[in-house]
Amino acid sequence: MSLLTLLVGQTATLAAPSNPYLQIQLMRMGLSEGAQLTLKSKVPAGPMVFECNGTEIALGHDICKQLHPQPQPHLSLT
Amino acid sequence: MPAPVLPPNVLPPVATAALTTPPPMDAATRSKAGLVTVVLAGNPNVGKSVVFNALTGLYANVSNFPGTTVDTPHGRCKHNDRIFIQDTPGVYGLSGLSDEETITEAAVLDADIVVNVVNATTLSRDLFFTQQLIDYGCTVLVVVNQMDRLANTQQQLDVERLETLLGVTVLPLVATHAHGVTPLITLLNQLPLEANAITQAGNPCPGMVPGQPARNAEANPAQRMHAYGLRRKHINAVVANTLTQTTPSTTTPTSQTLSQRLGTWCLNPLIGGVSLLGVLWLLYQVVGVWVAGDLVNFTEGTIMLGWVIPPIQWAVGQVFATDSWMYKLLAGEFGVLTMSIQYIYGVLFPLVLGFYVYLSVLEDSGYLPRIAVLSDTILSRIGLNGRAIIPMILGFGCVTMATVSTRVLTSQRERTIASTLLAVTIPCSAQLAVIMALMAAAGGFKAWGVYLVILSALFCAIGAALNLVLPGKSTPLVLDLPPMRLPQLTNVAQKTWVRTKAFIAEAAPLFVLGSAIVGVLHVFGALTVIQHWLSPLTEQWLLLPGETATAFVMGLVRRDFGAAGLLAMGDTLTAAQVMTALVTITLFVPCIASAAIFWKERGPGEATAILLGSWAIAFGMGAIVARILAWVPIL
Repeated sequence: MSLLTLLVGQTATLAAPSNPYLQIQLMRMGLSEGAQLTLKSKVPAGPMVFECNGTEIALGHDICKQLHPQPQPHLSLT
Repeated sequence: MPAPVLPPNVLPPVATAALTTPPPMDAATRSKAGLVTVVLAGNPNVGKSVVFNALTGLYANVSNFPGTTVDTPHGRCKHNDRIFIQDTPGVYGLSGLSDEETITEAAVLDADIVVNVVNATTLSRDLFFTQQLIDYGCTVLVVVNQMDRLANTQQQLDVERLETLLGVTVLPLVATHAHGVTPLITLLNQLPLEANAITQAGNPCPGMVPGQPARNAEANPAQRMHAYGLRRKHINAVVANTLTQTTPSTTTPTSQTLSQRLGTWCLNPLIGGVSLLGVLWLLYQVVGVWVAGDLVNFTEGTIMLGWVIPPIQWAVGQVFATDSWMYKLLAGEFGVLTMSIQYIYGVLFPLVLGFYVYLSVLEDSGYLPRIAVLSDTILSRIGLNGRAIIPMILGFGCVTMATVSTRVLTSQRERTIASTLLAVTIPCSAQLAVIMALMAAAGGFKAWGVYLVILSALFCAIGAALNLVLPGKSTPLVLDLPPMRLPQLTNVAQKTWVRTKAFIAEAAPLFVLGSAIVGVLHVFGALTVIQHWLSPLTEQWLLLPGETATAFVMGLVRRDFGAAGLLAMGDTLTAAQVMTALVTITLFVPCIASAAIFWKERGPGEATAILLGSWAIAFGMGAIVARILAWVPIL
């Protein structure tokens, strides 16, 4: 399950990305393991816009596909 | 199985070509001359350029779009002549992931003092770079900008605590206010200050050895990951310790501000799509109809042809006989003196000015990054990403200008694809005005439909083909979205002026050179030979009357001359012939100025390939259109 399954308005806690290049790129921007991402908008088959630490950041479709939320028992994302 | 963004541990190729004009002297020379080198560095869109402008009195491009500083502006501090100030492109860290990071890394390592500008509302993101600068052994002065916005988010920053934790001087500012930068100026005025507090080294991230060891360690992919992890954790803790919520978070406002709502609307595919069409339509009305039509009629027709050119011709006529080749070369139809001045100041200048006003307003509003997000879906299929929408929109104004702006794209590969698409498929505003008039002759609404379908299909096909052929992969979109805000008039005016001046300065010599070449060809009869030689091609290949060859050759000089030549032929052409000619002329060579810019930006090999490719595509596509329209008379 990747971030692509999130619905607008839902919040997820980011799991560590498995792609090292992506991991260092995002880590610098504050999107490290444990970051809280709230999905603000979603372009069909396109980028997703998240709010994280009070700023909005757009991530391309290919990137979202590789990012996963940490499993959270109290939050159903299915 | 997720597709990899890039192969693990393989960084994208970093171009070796210099992107920037080098500072007038190197760091060693500056320090020998007793100058202190201050480098401004920080994440994209934090306000470095505002600080730079306030310190130097020069103008670096200030916009509400991340990644607009691609050159490194530099100058002396206007308040202290001993200080040399250099701006750098905004980066999130020094990892060599892009040309910008390489440029910035070289600049900060050469600096005596790095003024690190951070945004108060995005501290946990920005301080990662700050900590990396400290770990790399740079002497850092942290400037926390946009303190006013922080107050709006009901948060409070403990500046003293931040200073203690980082071990460097921290200066809170509101750089956009009239005297916002004064505290920084006061501090820098004490320079050079060997024994001053701000030259102290900061606290390295726990677990790291600062200076060269830290840099060496991070050159190794596995150790880099470890170091980044430590640094990220450390910074998250620093922020948690210094930033406090002033009102209980339970009272978070449920109603969004207008700015937030606008931002969300722009990202809706339907509203965003319609608004983009509206923006393009308005652009066409302002730049294509009003500036390219009415205003250029006045600047070119009245001012240039009426008042400026005749005295020049008269003066040249005093020295050379009017039928001599020297006269023709200097002041004839394609004269270096006459056509250059007429074109650069009569046409290009008002057009570029109008376009930059429009672009500056869009840019400052925060609209463009949202359009970049929307168009990413399509652009990522042709080897680009959403950021490339900016050069594409600019192309409808002036392809030459747009080609220069492809510098904002991350990789050389993206710049190649974007420049090629601009050269071949995007008609500029000078052409659009004439194309518009010809459309009526070609069948109006239906003709527009055919034209748009052909050009969009070609845009996608060429992009997809290049994406397939060129080695590498496009970089996926990672883009900060700044808040939507009302553009500031003074900034728009200042930015427009500086950019227009810079563009004219860059394009003018190239255009003079180009018109000199065409002038020589004309004077020695080569243009007529080319026209003669082209005639069978136009007649048998494109099924057009022989005289249209003249229009094509004129299109070499100026794209709108070509289309205007067709307009002059008017009724003698059938609708299908007009369409064939229009498609060919749109795809055909870009004008002299843009050809020269391709040469400069992309190098001789790639520029030649783009030009020859555009000829092949133009005549190939023209022939196809002519034959299809002969069989299927839809027009």
